[in-house]
Order: sequence, then C-alpha cells, then structure tokens
Amino acid sequence: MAVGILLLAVFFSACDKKNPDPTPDPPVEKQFMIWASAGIPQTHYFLTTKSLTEGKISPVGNGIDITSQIENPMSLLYKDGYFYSISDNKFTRASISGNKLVAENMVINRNKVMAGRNFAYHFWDGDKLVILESSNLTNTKPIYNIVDTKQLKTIATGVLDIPIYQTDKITAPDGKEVPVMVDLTGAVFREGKIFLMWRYYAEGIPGVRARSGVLDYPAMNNLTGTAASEVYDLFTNINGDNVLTHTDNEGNLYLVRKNSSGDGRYFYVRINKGQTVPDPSYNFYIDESSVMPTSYCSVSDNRQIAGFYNTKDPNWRNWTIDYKLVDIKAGKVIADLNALGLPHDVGRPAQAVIVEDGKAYMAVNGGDLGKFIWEYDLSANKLTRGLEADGGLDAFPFLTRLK
Amino acid sequence: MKFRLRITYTVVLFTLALRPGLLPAQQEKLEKPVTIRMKGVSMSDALLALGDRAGLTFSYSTHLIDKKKLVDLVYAQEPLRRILDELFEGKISGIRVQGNHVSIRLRETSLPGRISGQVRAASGEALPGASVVLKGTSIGMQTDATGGYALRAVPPGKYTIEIRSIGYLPQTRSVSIGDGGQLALSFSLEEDKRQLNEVVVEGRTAAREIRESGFSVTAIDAKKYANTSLDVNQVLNRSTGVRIRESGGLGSDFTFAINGLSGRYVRFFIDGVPMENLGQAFNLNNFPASLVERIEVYKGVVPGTLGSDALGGAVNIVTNKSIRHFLDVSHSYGSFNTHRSALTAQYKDARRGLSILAKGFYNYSDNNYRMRNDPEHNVLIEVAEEGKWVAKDGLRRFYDRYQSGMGQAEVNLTDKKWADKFSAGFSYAQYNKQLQTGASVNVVNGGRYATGYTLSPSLSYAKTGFLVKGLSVTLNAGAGYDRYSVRDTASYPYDWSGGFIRPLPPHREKATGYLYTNRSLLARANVDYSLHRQHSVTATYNANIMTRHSENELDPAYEMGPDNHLQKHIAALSLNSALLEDRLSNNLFAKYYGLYASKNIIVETEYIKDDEGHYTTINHFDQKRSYSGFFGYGMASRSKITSAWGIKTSVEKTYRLLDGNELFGDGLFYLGNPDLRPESSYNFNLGSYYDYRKDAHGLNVEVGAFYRDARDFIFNRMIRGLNPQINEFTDYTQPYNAGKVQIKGLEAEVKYRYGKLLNAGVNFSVQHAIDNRRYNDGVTRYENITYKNKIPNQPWLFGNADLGIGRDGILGRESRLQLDWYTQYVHWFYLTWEALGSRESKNTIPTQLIHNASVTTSWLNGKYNLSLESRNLNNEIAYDNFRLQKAGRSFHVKLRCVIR
Repeated sequence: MAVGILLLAVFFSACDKKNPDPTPDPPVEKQFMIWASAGIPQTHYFLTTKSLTEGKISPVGNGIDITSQIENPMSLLYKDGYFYSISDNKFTRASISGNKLVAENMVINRNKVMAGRNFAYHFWDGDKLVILESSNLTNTKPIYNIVDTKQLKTIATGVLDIPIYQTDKITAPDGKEVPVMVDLTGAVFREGKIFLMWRYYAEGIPGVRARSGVLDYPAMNNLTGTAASEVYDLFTNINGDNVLTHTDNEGNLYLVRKNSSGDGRYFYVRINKGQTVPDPSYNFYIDESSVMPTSYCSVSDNRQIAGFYNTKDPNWRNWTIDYKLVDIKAGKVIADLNALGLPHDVGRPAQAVIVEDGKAYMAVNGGDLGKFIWEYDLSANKLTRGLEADGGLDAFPFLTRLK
Repeated sequence: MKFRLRITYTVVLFTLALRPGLLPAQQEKLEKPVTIRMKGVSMSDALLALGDRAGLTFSYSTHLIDKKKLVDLVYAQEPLRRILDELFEGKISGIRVQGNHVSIRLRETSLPGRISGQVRAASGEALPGASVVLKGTSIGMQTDATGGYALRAVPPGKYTIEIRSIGYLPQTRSVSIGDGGQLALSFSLEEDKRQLNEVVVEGRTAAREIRESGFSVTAIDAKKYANTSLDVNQVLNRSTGVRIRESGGLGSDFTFAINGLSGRYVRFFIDGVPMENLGQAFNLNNFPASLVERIEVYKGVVPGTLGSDALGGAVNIVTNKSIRHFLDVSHSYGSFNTHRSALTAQYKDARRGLSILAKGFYNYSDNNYRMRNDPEHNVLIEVAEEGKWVAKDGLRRFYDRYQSGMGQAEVNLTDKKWADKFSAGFSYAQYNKQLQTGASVNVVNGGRYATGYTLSPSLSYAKTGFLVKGLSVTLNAGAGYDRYSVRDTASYPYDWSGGFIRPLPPHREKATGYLYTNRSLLARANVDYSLHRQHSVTATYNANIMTRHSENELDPAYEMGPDNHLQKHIAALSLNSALLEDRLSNNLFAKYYGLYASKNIIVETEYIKDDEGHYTTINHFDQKRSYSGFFGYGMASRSKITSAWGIKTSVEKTYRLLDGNELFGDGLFYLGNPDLRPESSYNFNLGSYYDYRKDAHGLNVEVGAFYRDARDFIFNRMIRGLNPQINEFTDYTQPYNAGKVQIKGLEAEVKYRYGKLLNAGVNFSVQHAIDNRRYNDGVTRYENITYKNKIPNQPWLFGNADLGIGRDGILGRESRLQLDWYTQYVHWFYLTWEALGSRESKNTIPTQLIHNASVTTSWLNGKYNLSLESRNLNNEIAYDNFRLQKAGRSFHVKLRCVIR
C-alpha cells in the first residue's frame, strides 16, 4: 500500500537551517559552545567562544561545570537558547546564565525505556519536541512524548499504535526461549505523518522481522503502509540532533543502514517517494571499509558532511572518525576531507559538525595532532585550521552555535 | 610473717600500756590470751563463756547492746581486750578492772572509722584505678594515681575488703574497725595470667605491640565500643587515615579508603583470614563492634603474614576470644526502627580441652529517615506533581529496609599433643536490602532490592613446636558458597512521595533479576621458625580459588556471559629480627603474586540464514587461560630511641591482581584486555610514636607521613566495536592501564588517659592526591589537562575528637557510669577537578561536623550494661557522597549482658 509520504518540508536539525529572508539580519555577535571533557574521573564543561576560526580555549578556570547535570553529549539538544536533556523521568531545559547552567525540570513519561537511547528518535514540530522511545519490556509498544518546550509541559504521551509481535518469545537454535523486544529503528517526520521503522528483535537472533509504516501525527495511530523489510538497522537521528536522514528534491528518502550479511558495512539506501521499502537499485557505499555513521550534517543540494568510523584497522583501538562530503542523490563522494589534511578523529564525536555561511566547522580530536575546530569551505574545497582546544582534554564531542 | 606478727603484738601491748587509767596488773588481765571457739551464740552467752575462759566476770550497759544478737567467737590465743573490742564492735569507751570483774563502759553513738592504704602490683608498680570495696556495703572507691585509697565514714564493725584491678587476681581481707578507728592496709596484687592473656595481651598490650611494630598500623581496642550500637565501619571511621563513605543508613553501600586509596585497593581479613570468601552477606557495616576485640589497620605496607594483594592497605578484625565460659549478649533499639542484636557464647570443658564457640548477629532497620531538601548543594527531594517536579523537605525514605544476620559455630580442641588448637567451624549469613536510590537522590527506587546468603565451613590448625623446636604452624582452610541477586519488581518509576510517576496502563509488569553465584576455596598456611632468639622466618602461602556464575534468574534465556574462574596464589617470606635488646625491630619480606584465570569466551560466530532470509547465530567458545606472576617486596623497621619513643619506617612495592572480567571481559558489553598489567604501587611510611605513662597518666602520640606512587590504575574506556553475537556495532567498555596517582599525606593522633576516669583523643589526616597521568590515552604530545591536579571527589582533610569521662561506684556497688562524646570533621571538597570550570558552576560536598554522644551505665563489674546514644546530635545534613544524604539525628538504647 502506497504510503502518503511526501518528500518536502523535512525538518532537519539546526545544522542546516537557512534563513530564507533576503533582508540581512542586523549584525549579531556570534557565540558558540564547545563541550569539553577532561580527566579520570571524567568531568564535563561547556566552553563558549565568539570565534571558531582563531584563538585557544580551555576549561582551566573557565567554562561551566556541567558534570552531574548533563553527562552524555549524545543526550543533548540545543534550540533557540535552550539545552534539552533527558534523564530518567526528568526532562530538563537549561540555559546559560552567567557562569552557570540554570535548569528547569519537568516530569516525562519514560517508563522502562531502553537504556542509553536518549533522544535516539525525535523530531521537532515547531516548539514541540516529539520523542519516541523503545521499551525494554518484553514485546511492548514504544512510547512517545510530545513536549511543549516553551511551556515546558507534556502535551501528549502514550504508546505508538504499532502491533506487537505475535509471540513473546522466539526459540533460538540452541533451544533457548529468547524474549522479543519491539525496537524502534527510525522515525522521520514529514507532511504531518511519521515514517516509522521498527523491528522485532531478540537478543542473539539478528535479522528478525523488520517493519516500516506510517503513523498519523499527533494522534500516533492509524498505522498504514506497513511493510516487511530487511531494513531493520536504519539510523535516523542516532546522535542527538545530527540527522542521518535526507530527503531529496524529488521526495525520496535516504537513510543509512548496515549490511546484515555479517561484514558490518554501512551504506545509504533510498526509499522512493510513496514506498516503504528500500529501492534495490540504490546502494551507496561511502567507503570500501566497514564504516559506521557517527556525526552528520546536511549541507545543501543533497550534500552531506558525513562522519564515519573508519574501521579498516583490525584493532578497534585504532579506529578513527573520518569525514567526507557526499552527494547523496548522485551516490558519490565529492571530497575526502581527510585527504585534504583533516586529521583522523581519534575521539568519539557526537554532534561535532555545524554549517555556517557555506562553511562547515568540525571539532576534531586529532590526538597528537591537537584538538582543533576545522573550517571547510564548501565552495572552495579548502580546509583551514581554526580555534584550538586544549590538547590535554579527553574529548570535545559537541559543537553548536548559541547565538 | 611471724616476725611481722610479733612486732604488731608488741605495738598493741605498748599502746595498751600507755592507755590512761589502767594499771599494769589490770592491763595484764586484759591482755591475757584466750582461746575460744563458739558460733551462733547470743551476745550474753558469749560474754559468759568468755568470762569463764578468762576467769573474769563482765558488766556492761545492757541497753546499749542487743544481748540476743548471735555472734561468733573464734579466737586462738588472742588478747582478751581485742576480743572484747570486736565483740562490742568498737563501742567500748572505757574499761575498768576490779579484781576479777571487768566493768565495760559503752559509747552511746559510734564514731566512723577510716581505712586507707595503697594498692600495688606484686612488681611494686602502683595500680591506679583499682576498685576497693567493702563487700556487702556501698562503701568503695577507685585508687588514685598513686594507687592510694582512703575509705572514710566506715561504721565500726567487721568487714571484708575486696580489691580488684584488671589484669590482676582479686584479693579479699577481713578487717575490723573500731569506733573512730583508723586502719592502714596496703595490698599487693598478683598478675592474673589468664586475664592478661585475654584482656591485656590481646587488648592493650597486643595493641601496643602492634603499634610499636615497624608497620604503619593503627590498632583499635574495640572493647570500649562493646556497649555501643556501632558497627565495625563506624569504629574504623574514627581512626587516622581512614575514611569510609556511606551512601545511606544501616547496611548501605560504602567505600573504604586508607590514606587515599579505596575500593578494590583495600583488603579485609577476619582473624587473619581474607573476607573475600565470606561473601556479600558479611560486611563491615553489619558486623557489630561488640563482637570485636581489636581492629588492625595496616596502611600502605601490609605484613607478609596477611598474604594479600592489597595495594592501599588492609584491615584485620580480631574477634572476641576467651578461654573461659563466656556469654555476651546484647540488643539495641534506635531511631528508624533499628534493631541490632549480637551474641557471643562459649562453653569450655577445660579437662578435655574442648570448647564450643557460637557467635551471631542480627540487624534490622527501616532506614526511613527524613530527607532534607538542600538546594545549596544541588540536592532536591522532588515529587512529581501535575507534570512538574516540586521540591519538598522532610519526606521520609520509604523503601530502604535492611535486614541481615549471621550465625557461626566453632568447635575447638585445645592443648592436645598433636595440636595447640584445632577448630572446625561453620557460618551462615544472609541479607536483604532495599535499594532506595540509585547513584543519587535523583533516582528513586520502589521495587529494587538485593538479597543473598553465604555458607562458609572452615578448618584451622595451630601447633607450636611442630616436629622440631622453634617451628610453629598455622593452617586455615575454608570454602564459601555465596549466592546473591539484585531484583527490580517495580513496574513504574517512583518519586520521593513514595508513589508512581504517571503509570501507563499498557506497560506490563515485569521483574528483572540478576543472580550471582560465587564458589570459593581458601587455603592458607603460615609457618614460623625461630632461627635464633633474635630472628625468625615466616613463610606464608595463601591460595584463593573462585568461580563466579551470573544469570538472569527471571529470564534464563538472557545471556549473562560465561563463568569466571580465578585462582590467586600469594606467597610471602618474612624475616623478623629483634636486635639490640629489642631497640631495633626489622621485618623484611618478599611476596609472590600469582594469578591464574580462565574463561570460555566466544571466538567465532556462525551465521545461518533461514528460509525467510533471517539470520541466526551459533557461537563457538574457547577456553582462554592466563597465568601471570609478579614479585613484590618490602620492609618495616622500628627503632626505639627510648623505652617510650620510637621511629618507624616501612616501604613496599605491591600489586593488586586482575580479575577474570578485566582479562577476558564478561562476554557481553565489558571487553577484556589481555594486555592489562596489574595495578601496582610504591608505598612509603615514616612515623614516630611516643608512649608516656606515669601513675594514672597515659599519653600516646603518633605522627606519620606517607607517600604512595600508584601506577597502572585500571580505568574503563568506551570503544565501539562489532558485536559478533548480534552482528552489530555496540558500545563496549574496556579496561586499560591509564591511571597514575601520587599521594602524599600527614596524620597525627594524640590520646590522653587518666586512669579510668578520663580519656580524650584527637586525630587528623591531611592528604594530597594528584593525578600523575601525564598523557591521555594514545596521546604523547599534549599533557593531560588534569596532570598534577588534585584528585576530585575525595576528602583530603578530616579528623576526629573524642572525650570520655567515667566513674565507678556512682550508681551503686560495682557500677560504672561512662559519658562519651565524639565529634567528626570532614572539610568540604569539590566534586570535580578544582582547576577546571568556573567556581560558581562547581558542586561541592560540604563540610561535615557531626557530634555524637553516649552515656553508658554498668553494674556488677560490667555484667549488665545499659547505654543511650545519640548520633548526629546537631542534626546536620550529612553527606559522604554527592547527592547521597545520610541520616539526621538519631537515638539508640542498648542493653548488654556479659557473663563470664
């Protein structure tokens, strides 16, 4: 059944926002925030800077200590002056006031959600933040929360109206009865509908039944276009605000998925307009090695700055994060930023790419090559080293523009 | 003796001769020796009989005495006057002799007498604090600093005076004091060898001997806490260099630190046997202090005889022992419905050399203390109300009940030809504790709890002169079966109101539970051989074999990873020397640390595609084995500058062996690292003690400096890798050698004691622990930003002060009243790195100044004891850890009965 999924008006993250108003804004003093982590035990700091292109920045005697407030950069969203994080049953809206982070909390329904998947699937609907989360209870429907971030209150909460699996357990080859989980694997909001992907998953039994379909929003019901698929391991916005989906100008949806044949390679797939399963004629491998998406930012003209784990080295400790500029629609790599001189990132970036005025800025932990903000001029295909972060930091995985 | 009697007799005669109004002939009649033996006769009959024997008649004021009073006359060749004095109980005010008639004038009211003297040990040393009591009366006192005493206002009469002093045989003597009489009586007490063994050697002297060894060790005499409701942790927390950080009330989780090294770096022993085998149910925070004789805290450098891989130090708990019949039973009740009971009992058949020892304890607490809202320190006690989090003050903890118990029985055979002591024992311990919070008050649990039990049989054997003279052998063997689980039966999350947070009907209830089973075997041998009067060699071998199995008890299909199998073999050789007439004491030791670990791990995963195109996996396991060995070494030396003052130094290169998970992983999300090195440390201590004693005054001063250079600390890092079981990339945790910590510190303690009347002490510890890790993982060019920074979230300045005042006899015969005050101070410290971030954004753990007080009364020389105790008297908001609040003010009453 054809799905009424249209291709326009996909709301992406702040990283690719454009200001369509031709009237130039009055000059605004820019301010950026860089997340810095340091020490064992690891502690976390928000460092602010007016420029990403020059100077040095360090948490020594500087910055906001956010340890014990926000500890996971993958669980942090930023929008219009506020940071949003989620922990247990607290939804927190925080803002910088002086040298402190001032937080307001509200209750959010997160009963028994899968651990470590904060904001794994979410989208913005204006000021409303829609959060979808899988339950860790056996064969239980995922839950959703719609939060009015201005009023800081839950507008709606409940379970997604998708079917649970026909049995609670699956028998593994060794005879064990393995419980089935209903595991969300993707959610894309477009044209008032949610394109949803999920799988019925059992520990140790990969590849169990993946499904996709379309839900009405905000009713979160009326599931249509349900289709079985092998595409169970899709990524939409696995890392906070970095959207791993893209919709081209023809309304086709691009997602990243993993090859389930066992080699662990990741590649783009395309779900054509009106369809709910990938088009077998389109498989775009960014790299020959096994790679895993980590830090993305759509740019424009179907282009994306794509950060991948480069897993060529058999020793996991030597894996790095590499960046490429890709044309998703054409299915080709436009530029290999590491070939241009960008150091391989030895850290674990979460949201380390932003785009400003036709330039991409990447926070790269180059190990002995230092920790720098690198500026990539998209039109000139030129890479420049910018703001230097203290080389003694453990990590600086998050970068955003505050104003 | 005869000579002394003769002198006494001569003095009496001389005194009588000088009495006015009596002529020599009259005196002669009164001094005539008389032998008479009559019991239970009336006063009048007694005087008639006495007159018959002496050839005299008596007259006296009959209204001043009770003629029908029954008396005993048992005298052999005693002067008549003395017999009359005793018969009339010192009331004779004058005697006139006319021919064979004796007219006795009696005083209408008697004048009190005085008995005074001195109590000394047989060695001549004055005994302050000895108890002097006239039995059957309320008259009594303690000897003063010089051993002197003076019992005043003693009515004339016959008494039995009893002298008691700890460590000495009691002495009684019959005395008679006349009207207004004054008696000078001194006593010389013989040492009680048995009591010395029990109390002095094991308690005071053993503690002193340990203190005066070369090791940096605090020896705590736990007997003085026997009447309190404290547990071992709370006693240890009062000693220098020790910091115990508890997460809540009775039975809560805790970390134990010695000189800045905590957690897995400190090892614990009970009577020299590692506690590792005793399981989760047996812990320092549920072990009552009343079962403990002494606690030894070894800092940094641990004697080879303990045979352990302790990196930061070790704690050895020496439990109560007695060579006699013995019963010590106690129960305390306190705030938050807290009950604590303890029992030690021993039956001994000395003739057969058989004794049966039983010990046990039971703890229960609701731990429902009030939680205080403390926004200043970011502690908000929140309730979900209409979609908002609302902070409230004074809400009670509602799911934090704790219950634990232990029973132990031991059969001992002693003084056999083949063994000095052979013991067979068995213990059972269980616990059940609800887990109110997670890592902070922000996470509130309503159905999460931990429960478990441990079974531990044990054998021990000790023999001096084993096979050859000078050879002593001690053998221990034990097994442990420890089974515990963590379960969560709550369907919904909770807030501090005790209720659910927005439950959603479609969520189905499901409990989770993880069950862990540890099986262990322990073998320990200690062989000591005296090479010479001044030298001995001790060889110690300690083997610990442990298997750990994990499962999801409510969902057996859930894979928890393969079993861990681990063997630790630690051998030590020590040379002990006492040179220069014991002015120099040395202990040199070398240790071998051996580790054998094996585990079945997945080496290959086979994917099978079914007809529907779905994959299933078959995992192929292989047993991985690893053996590694390391040598450590150390020495401890003590020099006595004077008999009271000594200097101590000790140094050790020590290791903390790895465990199976660190080597091979847990088979799930914790990856092993076969390249790991064991954590190690160079530990150095320098200290001095001064022990001044004069009469009742006792002053003990100890100061120490320490240095720790700990390396290869194991930390976990997150890495992302392919999980072969599910063919997916997964976030893994993997241990690696990264940490280097350097700690320097000072500590000091001063204790003063004045007999049994007063004791006071104060101690402090200051430590500076810095991150000595120069580079981050994989980086060699940029220095780690926290290099040389002070380690955060660690108390670095803390101290304790206590004052005790006690007096015997205030509440009656053989009674004692004791008042104790104890104050603990911990200086505030940062939660995170001091140098990083703006000050105003940083969280701190605030300064703690907690006062505690107790009053204890004892009767019948400690047979019955009643104590009232208040902790956190000032109701301070107490934290050991960030956002984990401890109890406010509490009260406890304890009754203890000791029958020996």
